[in-house]
Amino acid sequence: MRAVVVGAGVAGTAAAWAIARSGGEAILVHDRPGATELYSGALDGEPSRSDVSLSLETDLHAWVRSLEIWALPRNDARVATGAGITKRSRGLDHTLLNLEPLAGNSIAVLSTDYPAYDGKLLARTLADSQWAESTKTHFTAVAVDVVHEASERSCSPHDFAVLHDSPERIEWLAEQLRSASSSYDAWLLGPWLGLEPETVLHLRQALERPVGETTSLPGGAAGARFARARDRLMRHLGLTVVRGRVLAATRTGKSWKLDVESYLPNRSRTGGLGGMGGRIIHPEAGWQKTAQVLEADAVVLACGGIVSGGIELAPVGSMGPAFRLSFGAPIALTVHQAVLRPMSTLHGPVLDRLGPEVFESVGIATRGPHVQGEPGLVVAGAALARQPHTMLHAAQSGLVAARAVLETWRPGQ
Amino acid sequence: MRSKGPSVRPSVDLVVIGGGVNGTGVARDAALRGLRVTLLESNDLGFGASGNSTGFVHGGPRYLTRDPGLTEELCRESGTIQRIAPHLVFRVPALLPVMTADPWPRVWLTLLDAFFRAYDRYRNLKNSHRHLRLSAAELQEIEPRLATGIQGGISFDECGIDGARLCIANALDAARHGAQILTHCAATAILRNQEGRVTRVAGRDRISGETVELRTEAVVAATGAWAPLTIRLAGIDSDHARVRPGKGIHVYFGSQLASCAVITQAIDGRQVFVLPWQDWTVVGTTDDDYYGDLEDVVATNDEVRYLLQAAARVLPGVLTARPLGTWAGVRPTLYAWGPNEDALSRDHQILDHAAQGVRGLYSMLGGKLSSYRLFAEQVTNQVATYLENQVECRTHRRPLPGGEEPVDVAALAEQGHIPTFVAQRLANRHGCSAMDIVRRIARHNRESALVCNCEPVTEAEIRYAVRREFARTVDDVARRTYLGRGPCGGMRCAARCGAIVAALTSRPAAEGLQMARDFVAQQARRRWPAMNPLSARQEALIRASVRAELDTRDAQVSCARWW
Repeated sequence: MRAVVVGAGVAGTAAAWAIARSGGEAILVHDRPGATELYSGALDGEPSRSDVSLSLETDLHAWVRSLEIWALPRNDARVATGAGITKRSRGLDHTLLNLEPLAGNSIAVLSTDYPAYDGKLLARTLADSQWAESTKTHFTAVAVDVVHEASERSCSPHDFAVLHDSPERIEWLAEQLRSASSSYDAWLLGPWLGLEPETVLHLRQALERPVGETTSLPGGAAGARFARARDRLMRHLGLTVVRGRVLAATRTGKSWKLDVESYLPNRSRTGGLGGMGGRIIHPEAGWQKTAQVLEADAVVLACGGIVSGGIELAPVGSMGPAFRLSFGAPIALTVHQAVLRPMSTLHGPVLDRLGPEVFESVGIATRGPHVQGEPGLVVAGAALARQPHTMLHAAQSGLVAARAVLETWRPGQ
Repeated sequence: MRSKGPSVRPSVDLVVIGGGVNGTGVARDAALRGLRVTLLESNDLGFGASGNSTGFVHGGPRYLTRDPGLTEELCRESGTIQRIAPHLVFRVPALLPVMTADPWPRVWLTLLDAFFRAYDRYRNLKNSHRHLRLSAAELQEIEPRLATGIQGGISFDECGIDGARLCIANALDAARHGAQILTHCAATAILRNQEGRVTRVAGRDRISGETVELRTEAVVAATGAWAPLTIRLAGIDSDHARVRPGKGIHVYFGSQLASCAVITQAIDGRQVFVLPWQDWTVVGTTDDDYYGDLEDVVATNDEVRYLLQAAARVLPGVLTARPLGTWAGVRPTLYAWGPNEDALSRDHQILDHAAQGVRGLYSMLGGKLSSYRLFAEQVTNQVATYLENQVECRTHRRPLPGGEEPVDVAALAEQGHIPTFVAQRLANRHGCSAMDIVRRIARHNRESALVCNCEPVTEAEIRYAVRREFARTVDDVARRTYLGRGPCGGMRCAARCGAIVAALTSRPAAEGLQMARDFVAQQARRRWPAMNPLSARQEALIRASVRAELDTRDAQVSCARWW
């Protein structure tokens, strides 16, 4: 049984993992970072505070373990955002500092001459939070020089994180922090503690106390860490990943055909970054566009919503509904459970009376994970209508979609 | 825990209510004449029409046929503003193409040519070049992105200015001469004694909640479209200070869609322009009678489409560009029942409310950004006479702060060890006063950090805005520096700016976060009417990112303040 999973974010990755684990063949197709790779590092269980918390299945715990970068503590976690807010979350990237078990303790907040990060303001804002006051947790800015060379000051947080993957760098960082102070119970740093999951573990070992980072902004370390973990997992499972864009998914009888525009490197260059390690492949050195046709028994649409570009606003002058899928597929989009009608204007989608929340309400109409009337076509993640947009809901829906696909095909068929 | 507002001097000669270009202009003029002045502004300086205008300091060519006296006055004042604020003013070359599809295009072109020849008579007043009549080929050469189907056109030039920064500059000069500038301070009553002379103005600080009471001899109400509301504070009926508020919106894009301004006509014949402005392109404007809340003026999708349809006629690239957002304001046009909005007089009027039994109270009605200084001079003359002050007006001779000397951008960059483009922006906004900011950066190198990357805004500039330019919220800082107005919508910079503002004004950090949330939400509301397929992804990303960083799940966001 072969399934093609469109999209390699959290939903697509979970679906591919579940299918492979049960003996099926999963091919992942993706072309660019979507919402998952732009996420903050915190794993919300609820999209809004008033929603009921997600109940997590055993499968989800198993998947999270195999990804190796996330922690789902028994009690909810608490993260510090880059803006200085403390926020409850269901889980977190383990490089982030979990504040929940540190309630009542004294936390050092790094303050250093890295322009994209202001530790003094961060400490002040965290100290002023309701949680800090009610639990009597102390946040203090501690000045430490963690910038090794002047040129690092103009690094983006992502690139600064890459620098920290080198064990020598971590040892140096640990030494700097130790010399500054050993009297705090934990250290909170900016969102650049490496893109490899072991980096923060080395740092914790060296300092013998909890150390972690704040959440990331889009394009930061948290999303990059997920991408690496996903690629590692796919390699480990031996799954094919096609770098390309689905143009259309069509059904022929009982099987599916996907037209894919993919990119193959003409040649690839790798380069080092400073003397501290890190390898970067330069994609602009010649990518060749090729057309490919993939055949499958089932298709999992995990292409994401508006953020990921899976669903888009129809261009001005188009005659269809205001929203459409970014590729051809036999699906219908709904907003607030209503199927979209064609626009009655020449001037493009009218969103005036809807608020920006509409971007999260639009999705593919399904019954459970199934697209009705299209056997073998299932949807997962933000592309689903009525799906709360959190990482964990998306991951769970990926597992549900995989199960649906596997139930249709028993082994041997 | 409330923050205290600035400590207030209790007795002054003149209270100015309103911190737009007229109010700050009067405060400056009066302070320069030695009067003790306090200015009360309910929101922020330039919150109303002054900070939401196009920023076109033009000579009013379209009034030439109806009111040449006004045109001459505006041209002279344009020249004056260039003289006193050379750092704030930038030249805008403009093209006025005539399309072959327009009715009688060749006749119209000849008429325009003649018209601009008449307009040229005033060009020396405002340092403009002579106009040119250009062929279609010449126009295409100047601006290749122009649409096809052009008959020919006219080129001329005017000036642009940032209205909000003009208000700040006037307020700064007023403050240097002893005036007290109280922002976020609403006037709540204008009181008089038994002889009908104005004696006191009561006010309330909207951030701290504290009340303010000022003893004064005279009051100038310079509140623009709020004029009929302000006059009621003195117990006078709104009918005695009538305006006809006209809403005008602008859409702006993050790239240069044309290398010079292009003037065109909308589907209803109204003039619409496309204006390059620093890194952006601004398309404007509309003019519609407004009946809504003056504190909460937001563009609508219809208005945006109307403008883009007009702009696309001469610059088709507009329709495939990504809009960054909108801004909207309300013109305080003089009241008249009957004429169409466009046909209303753009002149200004001074009302002396002695006619209603309140002596020493004056209202400023109408006016244009270009002629603010003259309007302020006329009002200050009246007030000075009433207060028996005989000092001459100096506002046309004395440069505004920042305009005293030419700016050396390279020297700024070198002294502060900042990139040249950052230094250039500082120079654009502050003129030679940018050196004060750079000197601080040289002493506190950390403050060279860019808080907003879209519009390079350093931490030092944010601190300067709070310490010296009367900024008290993130929105105030954004009005002065364009922080958060770029593609990121504040998602990367609002929180840090809020934390800095809160720290500098001794407010709890939580208030800084709330300011950031309010600002980001307000920006989202301003972006929404211009939403199009190209900007949807970025918008959805901003929303998700703000939710993660600022925890706006279920947040009650106050965009318009209700207290």
